[in-house]
Amino acid sequence: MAAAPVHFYERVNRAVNDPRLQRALDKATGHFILMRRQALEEMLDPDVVRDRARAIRAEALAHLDEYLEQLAANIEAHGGHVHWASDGASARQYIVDLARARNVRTIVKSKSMASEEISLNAALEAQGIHVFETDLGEYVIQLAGETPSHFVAPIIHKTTDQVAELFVQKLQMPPTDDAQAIAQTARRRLRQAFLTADMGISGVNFGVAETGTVVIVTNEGNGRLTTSTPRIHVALMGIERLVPTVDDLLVMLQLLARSATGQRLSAYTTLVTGPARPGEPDGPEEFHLVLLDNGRSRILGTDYAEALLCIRCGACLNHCPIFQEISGHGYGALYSGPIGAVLTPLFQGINEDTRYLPQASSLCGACKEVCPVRIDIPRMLLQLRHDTVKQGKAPAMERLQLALWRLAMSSPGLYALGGKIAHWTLSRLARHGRVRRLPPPLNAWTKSRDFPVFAPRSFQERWAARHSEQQKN
Amino acid sequence: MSGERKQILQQLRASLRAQGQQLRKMAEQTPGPNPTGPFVAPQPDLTAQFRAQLTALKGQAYLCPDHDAALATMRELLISHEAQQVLAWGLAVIPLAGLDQLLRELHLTLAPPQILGTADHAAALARLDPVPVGISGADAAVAESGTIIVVSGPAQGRLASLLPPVHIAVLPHERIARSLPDAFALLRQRYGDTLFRDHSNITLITGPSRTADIGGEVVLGMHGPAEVHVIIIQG
Repeated sequence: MAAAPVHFYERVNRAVNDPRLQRALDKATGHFILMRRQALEEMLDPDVVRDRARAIRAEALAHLDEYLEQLAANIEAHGGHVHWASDGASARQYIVDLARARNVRTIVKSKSMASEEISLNAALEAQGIHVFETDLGEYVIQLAGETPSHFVAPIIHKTTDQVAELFVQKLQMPPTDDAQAIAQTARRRLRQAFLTADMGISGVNFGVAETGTVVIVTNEGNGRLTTSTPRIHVALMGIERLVPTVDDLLVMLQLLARSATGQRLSAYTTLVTGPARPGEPDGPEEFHLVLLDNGRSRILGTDYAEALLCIRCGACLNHCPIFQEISGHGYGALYSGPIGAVLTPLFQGINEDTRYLPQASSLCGACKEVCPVRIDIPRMLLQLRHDTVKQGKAPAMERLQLALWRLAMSSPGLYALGGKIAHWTLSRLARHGRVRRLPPPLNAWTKSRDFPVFAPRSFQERWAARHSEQQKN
Repeated sequence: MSGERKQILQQLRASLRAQGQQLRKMAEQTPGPNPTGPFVAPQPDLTAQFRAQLTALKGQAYLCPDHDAALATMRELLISHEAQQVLAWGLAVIPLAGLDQLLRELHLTLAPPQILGTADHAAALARLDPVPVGISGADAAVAESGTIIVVSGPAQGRLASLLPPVHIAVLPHERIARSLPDAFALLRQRYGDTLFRDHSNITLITGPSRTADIGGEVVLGMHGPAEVHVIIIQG
């Protein structure tokens, strides 16, 4: 999940100058915002449910070691297998080894951010195994060779005709712009995969410690098929995605779909507890849970532990004025939007690729407002900016500018002198009282708007003049 | 393997020494008990609420005053879908007496539901794929969301409510609960401690399979059934 090699500013420029992307984003985020608002407004006491949901997730994290052991013990008692993976390499190795040992040739996958995080598909395909993403959006992403741009709606950046073009090209679909026909084409191809796959790999929306259950939520039913038709089910779960009890799960389910898509419940919520029991006619013979750490246990010990409360509903993405302009791809990282701007630097460290992400926010607070578990994302973005400076990772130009600013602001004389110089310079550049173009690096401002000339006399000068006049009277 | 487990647990414990207190405080801010609903404005008639919700999701619900009416509805559905074969739960666990007789009358055959343990897994699945209609019971339902809950078991396969494009579920009205937590209370009454021990799959089905991935347009029947028919027996 390394950030894309293209520079952040370049990615942002591409996004804001892509009219098709802007149209797709406006439509999708606007729709999600409306749907979520209606779903929360019709609740009798959404704040009580949200407060309790936050407490449930905090309780799970506060005793994460105990709950994980409970989850694993319960799964093993039901005849399932649990692999603890400290990093992506360990998780990949376990799943690849298992697939080879069972002679697996075809794998169906339902949506899993964790699997993208560890580039699982590439590792499996390197062994000659066919992997089918079965969520329609993820399937499109796979055919296009792209990465998802949203947790919940992975092709939020694509319009219908773009998907149609892709299917015509890759699946020999007769040209059409009918979403129904496009979906049917994918259904037919993927149904064949479901019928023949030897292994199903799913993500996990919640693990339930009390019962050893993993919960998979989808609207399409691909999560159900992935966990029902193949002989082997492998579930991949970030270690933080736990709730203590089934009753706690039922609280979380009141919020997940409402926050994500405005539904009271998604079409399918499946609670899987180990492999099929003796006598059951269908379901997997083998169940494996891979618990993925990959930095989470370390983040738990920092001031950013709260970020691990996230249930990946995507509400903060939809409501973020930055995400609405640049989409997930603008962030250049798997986890995008406000929560991704926190998580990515935490997972990868603050470096040349990630240091821009905490800046990709106006700190308007919409993310915190809509988060079902009330994660204080603005606080963490601000704190990450502090960390960036403290670790000396801020850009040299920015440090120089701020050093000059501090110098000027702490000396009235220098401040006044600076004002005079600015006024003198600006009035030379101005036409009709406005500056159309400032020299670099200040030209970023004047790219999209004029800069006004400073007033002929500074506030200090006017104040002093007014003061002396008053004394005269 | 156990080395990694130890390593992860040690790191978690070290991290919790630094942040555990903060997280415990966060958890204690809103202690239980958990809210159990109603989560939306309660309606006096749960059956009507269930039906309205399911209909809004483009599912179908049929209110049948008694068994005979339910059988008549089932007959109509099977005839209108021109089914020759159905994929069903064990008929004894579908709460509609006379269903076996009806299937015989309509010359419908039951597709063999057994997949597990068959010599050719893919072939067994391929035989079920063309079956046009699946029939199941429902262990519980949620009025607030129009949800039915199906619990897996020896006579209650996953595929009857999943593989065919049409799913017909038979639901006695007393299994309709107001909220999701209320519905789980019903499941616990029915199954007791065995609910999670003996049943590997519990699925909440809320309307037909759907996707809005393409241009935000809703398409039904993406992977699961495009049609969900719930026959509610009130007698």
